[in-house]
Amino acid sequence: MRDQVIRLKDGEEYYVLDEMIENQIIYLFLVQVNNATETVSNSYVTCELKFKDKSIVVDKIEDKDVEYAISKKFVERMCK
Amino acid sequence: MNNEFVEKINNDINASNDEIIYLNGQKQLAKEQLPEEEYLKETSNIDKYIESEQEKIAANEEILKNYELAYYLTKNLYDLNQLYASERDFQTRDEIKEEIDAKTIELESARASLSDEAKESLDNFIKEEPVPTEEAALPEEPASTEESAFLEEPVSVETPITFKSNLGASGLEKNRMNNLAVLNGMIADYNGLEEKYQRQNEELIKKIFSREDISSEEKENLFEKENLILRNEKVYAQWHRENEIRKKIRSEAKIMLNPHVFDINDREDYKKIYDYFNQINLHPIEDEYFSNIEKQIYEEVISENERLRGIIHIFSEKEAEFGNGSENNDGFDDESEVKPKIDPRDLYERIDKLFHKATYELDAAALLEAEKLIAKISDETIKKEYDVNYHLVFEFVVLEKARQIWDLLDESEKAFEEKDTKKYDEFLEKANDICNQLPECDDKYHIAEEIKRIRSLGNVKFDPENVEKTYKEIEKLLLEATYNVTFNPLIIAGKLISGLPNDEVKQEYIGMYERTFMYVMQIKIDKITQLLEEAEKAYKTGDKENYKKLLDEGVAIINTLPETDEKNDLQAEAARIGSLGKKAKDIDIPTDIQKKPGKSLKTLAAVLAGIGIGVAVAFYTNPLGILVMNVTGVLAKVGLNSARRKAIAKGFKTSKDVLEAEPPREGLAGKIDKLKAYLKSEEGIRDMIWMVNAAMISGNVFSILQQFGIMPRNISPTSQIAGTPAPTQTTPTPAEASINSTYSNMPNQVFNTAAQAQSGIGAEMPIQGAFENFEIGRVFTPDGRNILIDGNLTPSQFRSTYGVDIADCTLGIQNPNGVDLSWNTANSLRK
Repeated sequence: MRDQVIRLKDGEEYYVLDEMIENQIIYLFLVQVNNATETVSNSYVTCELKFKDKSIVVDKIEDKDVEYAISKKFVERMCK
Repeated sequence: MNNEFVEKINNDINASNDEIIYLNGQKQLAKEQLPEEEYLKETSNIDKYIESEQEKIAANEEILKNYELAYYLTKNLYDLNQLYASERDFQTRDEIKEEIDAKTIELESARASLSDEAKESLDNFIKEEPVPTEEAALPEEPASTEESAFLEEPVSVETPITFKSNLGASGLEKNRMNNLAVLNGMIADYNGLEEKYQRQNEELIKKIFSREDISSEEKENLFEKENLILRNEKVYAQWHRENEIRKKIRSEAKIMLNPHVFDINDREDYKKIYDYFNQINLHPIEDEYFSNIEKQIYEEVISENERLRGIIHIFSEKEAEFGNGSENNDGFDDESEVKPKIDPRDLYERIDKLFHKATYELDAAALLEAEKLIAKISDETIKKEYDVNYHLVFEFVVLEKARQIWDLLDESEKAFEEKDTKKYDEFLEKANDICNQLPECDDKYHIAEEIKRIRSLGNVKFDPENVEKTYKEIEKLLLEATYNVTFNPLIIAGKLISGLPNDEVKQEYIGMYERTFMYVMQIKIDKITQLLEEAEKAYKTGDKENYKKLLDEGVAIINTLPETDEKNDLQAEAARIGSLGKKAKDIDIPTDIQKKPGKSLKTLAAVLAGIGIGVAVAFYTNPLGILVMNVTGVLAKVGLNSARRKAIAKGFKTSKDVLEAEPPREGLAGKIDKLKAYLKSEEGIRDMIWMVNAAMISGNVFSILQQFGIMPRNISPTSQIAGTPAPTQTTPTPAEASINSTYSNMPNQVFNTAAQAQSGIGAEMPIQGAFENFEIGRVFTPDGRNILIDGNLTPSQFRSTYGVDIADCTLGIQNPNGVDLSWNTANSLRK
C-alpha cells in the first residue's frame, strides 16, 4: 500500500508514507491528504493495518510503548 | 507492454550493452598485454567507443520512455473521454476536461520526440489491442449507457402501466444479463484468489520444509513470516478485487437508476427505473455474498437521491398494494390475478393495539412492530398522525424504562459502597436487561455507558492480597483518563486510591491523580476556549451556522467539567457569546473584549498548593483571563519547544475501514515528494522528533513526569504563577539593552534552524556577545528554572545543557556588577 492514497469510511484520506512488518503486525505511517484538492496536511498517524473478514481496516496501536517505538522507527526511516 | 518495435529497441539496447562489456574486456586485455604508452592510446580509443555505445543506450531508452508514455497517455485519454461523457464521482466535467487538455499537451510532446516509424508502430499497436475484458463480455453491444439501457427496445409510451416486474426479453433484462455476465466474471476471478493462495501456500511449505540448511524452529519462523506476507497479499488482492466489483455495481446502478435522463412527465420512464431495480432480484448474482453487496449498493444509490427514492417508493407501494406481478399477470386489467387490497382499517386497528400494549406493558418490541406497520400506511395524512402518536408512545416507554433503570443503577452503586456484592450484581443485571429491551436511541446509549461505568467499579475492587494489581489498575485508569481526556476513569481511580493501605504510596498516587486531573482539565479548557473564540469570530463574520455549531460544541464540553470556578467562568463566557445570537439586532462588538478581572483560580491554585506538587509547571493566562497550566514547561525539559510544533501526531480512536486505495494525483504526488525531501532535512527531522515525543508526552503526562524525574521542588507555587521575577532596579531601555547588531548581522553565520535564522539568534557565537552595554546573567526557563549561566555558552551549547532554547527563555539583564536590572524575552531585545 506504500505510496497509495487510502480513503477511509469516514471520508478521510491518507497517503501511505511507509509500511513495515514487525512481529507479524503490519504498521503504516500516514499523512492526511486530500487527493481531489491535492493538499497535504501536517497530521501524521502511526497505525496498524488489519485484515478483518473481507475488509481492510486501519486501527490504533493499543500499546503506547509499541506505538512510540514504531513511530520512532518510521521517523528514522523517513529521515534517512 | 511488448511489441515488435519495443522488442527491436530492447535488442538494440542489449547489443550496446554487450558491446560495452566486450570493449571493457578489450581494455583489460590491452592493460595486460601492451606497453603503457600504447595501452593509454588504445584505452582512449576504446573509451570513445564505449561513450558512443552509452549514448546509443541513452537515446534508445529515451525513445522507449516516450513510446510508453505516449501509449499510456493515449489509453488514459481514451478513458477520460469516455468518462467525460458520463460522470466521475470525484471530478466534475470541468476538471475532467482540464485533465484531458493537460494530458493532450503531454501526449503531443511525447509523440513529437518519436520517429515516424515509432509513431506508426504505436498507432498500429493501439488499434490492434483487444478491447478491455469488461467490454468484451458484453456481446455485440456497446458498453451500457443511459441511452442503450432503454433505447434498445423502447417500450411504447402508450403501453399502460403494469406492475409486472419480469419483462421477458426486454432491453432491461438484456442489459441486466450482460451486466451480470461481467460481474460473474469478476467474481469468479475474485474467488480464484483463494485457490491461488492455497497453491502458493503448499509450494511455500514444500520449499521451506525441504530445506536442510536451517533448523526446524527456523523453518517454522520463516514459514510464519512468509505465510503472513502471502496471506496479506491475498487479502489485499481480494480487497482490491472486491472494490473493483463494488465500483462496477455502483456505476451500473448509477447509470441504470438515473432519473435525470428521463422525461419528467413520462411515468413509463420512471417505471423502467423501478423495473431495472427489480431485475437485481429477478436475476441475482449467483454468489450470495456479492448478491447482498449489490442489493446494499442499490439501496445506497437510491437513498442518496431524493427523486429516485420517491420513484422507487411510489412504485413499490403500488406493487405492494396491488400484488407483485407474475409471468401471467398483465396488470390492472386482469382483476382475477390482482391480490386483494389490505383493508386499511385492519392496519389501523393493529397499530392501535400495539400502542396500547407498548404503553401499558412498556413493551418496546410492540413499538418496533407498530413502527413497521405505520410505514405501510398509504394515506399520508393518517400516516403523519400515527407517526406523531408513535413518537409520543416511544418517549413515554423510553422515559419510564429509563426511570426504572436509573433507580436500579442508584441501588447498585449504593450496594457497591456498602460492599454488598450480591445486591450490586443483582441490580446491575436487572438494569442491563431492561436497557437491552430499549429501542435504539440516545438514552439507551447513555444508560449503557453508565452501566459500563458502574460495572467497572466491580471489576476493580481493591484486593488487599494483591496490591500490585491495584496499583496497575489505578495507573491504567489514570492513563485512560489522560488518553481519552475524560474525568470518568478518575472517579474509579479515586475510589481505589482512597483504599490504599500505605500512606506514602497513597500520597504518591494522589499526586499522580491530581496531575492527571489538571491535565484533563487543561486540555478541556483549552478546547472550550478555542471553540468559544471561534464561535464569537463566526458570529462577527456573520457565519451564523458555524457560530451556533461551535457554541454548542463548547457548551457540551463545559458540561463535562466538574463543578469548579473555571466551569462557572466558562459557562458565563458561553452565556455571553450565546446572548450575541439572541439579540434582535446585530450590535457592534468592541474589537477589544474587556478581559475579566483577575480570576481567583481557586480550583487550580488550591489543587497545586494543597497537595504541594511543586513540579515545574508554568502558567499562562488565556484570552479569557483564565490561568491554565502550560505543558510547554515539561516539553522544554526534554529539549523541545512549541515553536517547532509543525507536525502533529494524530491517532485513530477506533478502527476504520479502508474503502479504497488509489495512486495520488499528479499534483499530490509532487507535494508528497517535497514532503519527503523536507523530512530528510534537519528542520524536518526536528519536526518529526518533536511530533513523536510530544505525542507521547501529551498522551502520557504523568509517566513523563516520572520518567524525567521531575520531583517536588522547593519553589512555591506562588512564585511559579508569578512567572517572572519583578525588575529589581531601573529597567534599561531597549536601546540600552539590545541584541548586538554585529551578532545578528555576522557574516557567514550558520544557523541550526530556519526559526533561528529568522530570529537572528542561534549562530555559534557566545550568548554574551549578543548584548551591548549589559551582561546576561540569569535565565528563567519556561519550566521554572532560574539559572545563572555562563555567558560563554553558545545557543546550541545552552540548549544541550539545559534542554531549552535560549529564545524561549526570559533573560536577566545585569549590570557589570551582577545586579539584575530587568527581565526580557529574547525577542523584545532584538533591534
